[in-house]
Amino acid sequence: MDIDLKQFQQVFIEECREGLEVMESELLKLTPGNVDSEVINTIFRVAHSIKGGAGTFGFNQLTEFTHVAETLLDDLRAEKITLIDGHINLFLQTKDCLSAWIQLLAEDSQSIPEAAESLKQQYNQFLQLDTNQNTLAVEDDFVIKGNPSAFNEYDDNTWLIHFIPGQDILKQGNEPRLIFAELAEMGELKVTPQCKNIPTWKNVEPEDIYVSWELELVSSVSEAQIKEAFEWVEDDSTITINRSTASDESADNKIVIVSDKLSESPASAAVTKNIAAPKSAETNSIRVSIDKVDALINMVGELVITQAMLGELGQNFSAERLPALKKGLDQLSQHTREMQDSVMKIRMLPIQFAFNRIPRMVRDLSEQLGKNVLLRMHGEETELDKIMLEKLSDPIVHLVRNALDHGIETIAERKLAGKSDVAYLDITAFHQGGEIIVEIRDDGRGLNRTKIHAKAIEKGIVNKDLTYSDNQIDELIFAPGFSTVEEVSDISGRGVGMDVVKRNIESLGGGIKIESTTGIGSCFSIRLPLTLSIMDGQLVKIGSKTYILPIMSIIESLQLKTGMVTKLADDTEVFKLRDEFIPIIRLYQVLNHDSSLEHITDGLLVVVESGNNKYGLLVDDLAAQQQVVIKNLEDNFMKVSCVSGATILGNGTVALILDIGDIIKRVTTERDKYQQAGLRAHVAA
Amino acid sequence: MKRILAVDDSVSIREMVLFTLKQAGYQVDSAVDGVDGLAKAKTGHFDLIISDINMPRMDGISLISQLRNESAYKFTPILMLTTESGADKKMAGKSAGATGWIVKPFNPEKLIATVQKVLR
Repeated sequence: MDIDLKQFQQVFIEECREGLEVMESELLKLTPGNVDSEVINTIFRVAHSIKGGAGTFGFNQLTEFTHVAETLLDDLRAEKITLIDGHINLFLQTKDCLSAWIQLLAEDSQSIPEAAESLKQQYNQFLQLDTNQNTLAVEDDFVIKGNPSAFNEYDDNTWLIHFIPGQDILKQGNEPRLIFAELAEMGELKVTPQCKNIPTWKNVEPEDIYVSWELELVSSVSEAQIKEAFEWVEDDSTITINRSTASDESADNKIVIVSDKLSESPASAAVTKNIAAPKSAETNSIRVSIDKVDALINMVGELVITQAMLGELGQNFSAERLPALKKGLDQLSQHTREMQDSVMKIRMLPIQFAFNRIPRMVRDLSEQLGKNVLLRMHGEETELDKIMLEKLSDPIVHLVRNALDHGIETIAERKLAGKSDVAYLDITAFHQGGEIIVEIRDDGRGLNRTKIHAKAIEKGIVNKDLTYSDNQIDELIFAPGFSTVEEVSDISGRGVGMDVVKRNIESLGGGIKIESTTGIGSCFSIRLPLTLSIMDGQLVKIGSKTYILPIMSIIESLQLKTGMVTKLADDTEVFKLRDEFIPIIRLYQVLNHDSSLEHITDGLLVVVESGNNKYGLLVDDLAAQQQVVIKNLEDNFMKVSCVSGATILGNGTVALILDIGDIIKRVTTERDKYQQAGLRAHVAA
Repeated sequence: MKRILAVDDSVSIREMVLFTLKQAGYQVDSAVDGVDGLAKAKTGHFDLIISDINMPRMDGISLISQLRNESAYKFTPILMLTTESGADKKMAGKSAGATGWIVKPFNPEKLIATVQKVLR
């Protein structure tokens, strides 16, 4: 049998990763002295599984390492020792070490994480302190019980075995026949039953054994090998094994039950195949619940039926069948839509995956900062596109770090402010009108507006003569290069500012908002589209071309009237919408197109929001709104500025999807450039 | 063809056991824990059951005692997957009615050899 174990290693690695996630979340439930047996059991099982798998798949050092952790867990499980904080910390470090180790295995590396050795020592300390009575049990299974001194007097090749089976062995599924069959494979076997202990019929228990056997085996095997055949019954049965001289007695009057071989073993008929090991490279796989796949298969079935119906219609088409055709097409579009939804759902994963790093982080950070924080997470089951999830993880982690470092006060500060010792950090995810909202809310001190304002003036981000609303000041923390921390702290000052967080979220087609009340707390809310591959688009005409604007960024569309547009000193055109002045961007200029517009009032203005500022995009006309499938330009062609992707319209033509953020950035930087050079931006009249 | 039910909560071990036994010409089903294993055993007719000990929901030892209460599995061989250090588990398994054990870690050869001990 030639089976390459490597093919299971990838599964093992995946499994370990999942197990370690579980281990961490369970570890975080532990408190010293108070052990929930279900929690400890779950943690134990993870360690046990890793150990078992590691042993089986040939990672022996990993087996040794997990063995010590398992031993301590077993002692806790058996309540031999009491859980202390040191144990929890050690287990958490073990989890980290194991994660690193698994990563190394995934990369096909033989090396071992540095922490492993010192962790092992810590375990040994705990184990020696608490369980010095727990010495390793020595297995005595294979101690030869024969008579070694008489060894030479006997023929090497004949064994005499007396086997008195335990009464219960049949009830354990142990058939003497099978034991004899195994012995028969070792050589020539003679089996003689001894029936003298069979009771009278009345007293026979049909499931018990009353027979014992004398066996004579001619074979060069060792006693240990013979004992192995009896391994599972030796505790219940009486077995004596002795050497015998070959000429001892004749076997004529013995009944031979078992011949040389009882039957063909299944394995000998098996075909052994050499299966190529799968590539060790990490596959970007996704686990999909069977329900989702079933829904999809159902949908495909429906689609096939509709297609058959339409096909039949097409073959014998006549004018009076037009209503049937229309009905069929309606059905087709409905099914296509439903199927599209089902397919999208396959990529959706619970947001839990982005959340699961948080509890550990909150625990470690609050300990480090001397703060008392209670983390509450809600809506972990809310589903989000897989790619989105991966990219969302870092911004969330950053916001949580910020909340713990800057937002939440120390215990002393909270007391002084008349607040409870325990600070709350709530992380909530939910759906809202086709979008996902993730809120990170703390009940800390809130943003310090005076400090933010001063800092923004110092950095030249705002004009010191203007007044700003509270919210506008709060939003300043998203400005590039802005940081209110005097000293870069170990926790949040990692060179990544809130501007990066904001940019990352916007690159996902979402946005971030702050609400903050001094002394009461802050709430950061992230808004995201459900998926990156399909979006609702507004088709717009610019010259003879059709472009698509994401509906999510559009606030409203309006027609300008003469007199609404004012030109600023730098030639920027603005118009007044209610109380706000909104800069106008003529899209045909940005995109270098001819426009069919003679005057600005002939076009339409699409008001969009980007980074909390509003802009008016001038287009020739608005066309339909529709769902568009986004095709990536970078993968197929190259990165094009101002364009986030392309799609194929119903008539087969390709339309480009405009990247509003990029357009605004380009317009404003060009304007700045011209201003700095003392030039006037060229703005068509 | 002999039918085997493999009960283990670890995907990698389960896959390896399944693959190995199928290669050896057995018909194999699997279950993810004791509850699943008991349900599958009741609906199928297996000639051998191999079960892990540590599993969520229902562990291997409870599974064995429950199976022994089923008339269909009164004498069916049941092997447990144990670790070397689990001498007490072996005893507990035996008294629950286990036929024998396969000691972890095991390799495919050892697994097949042990299965052949009981399926002839």
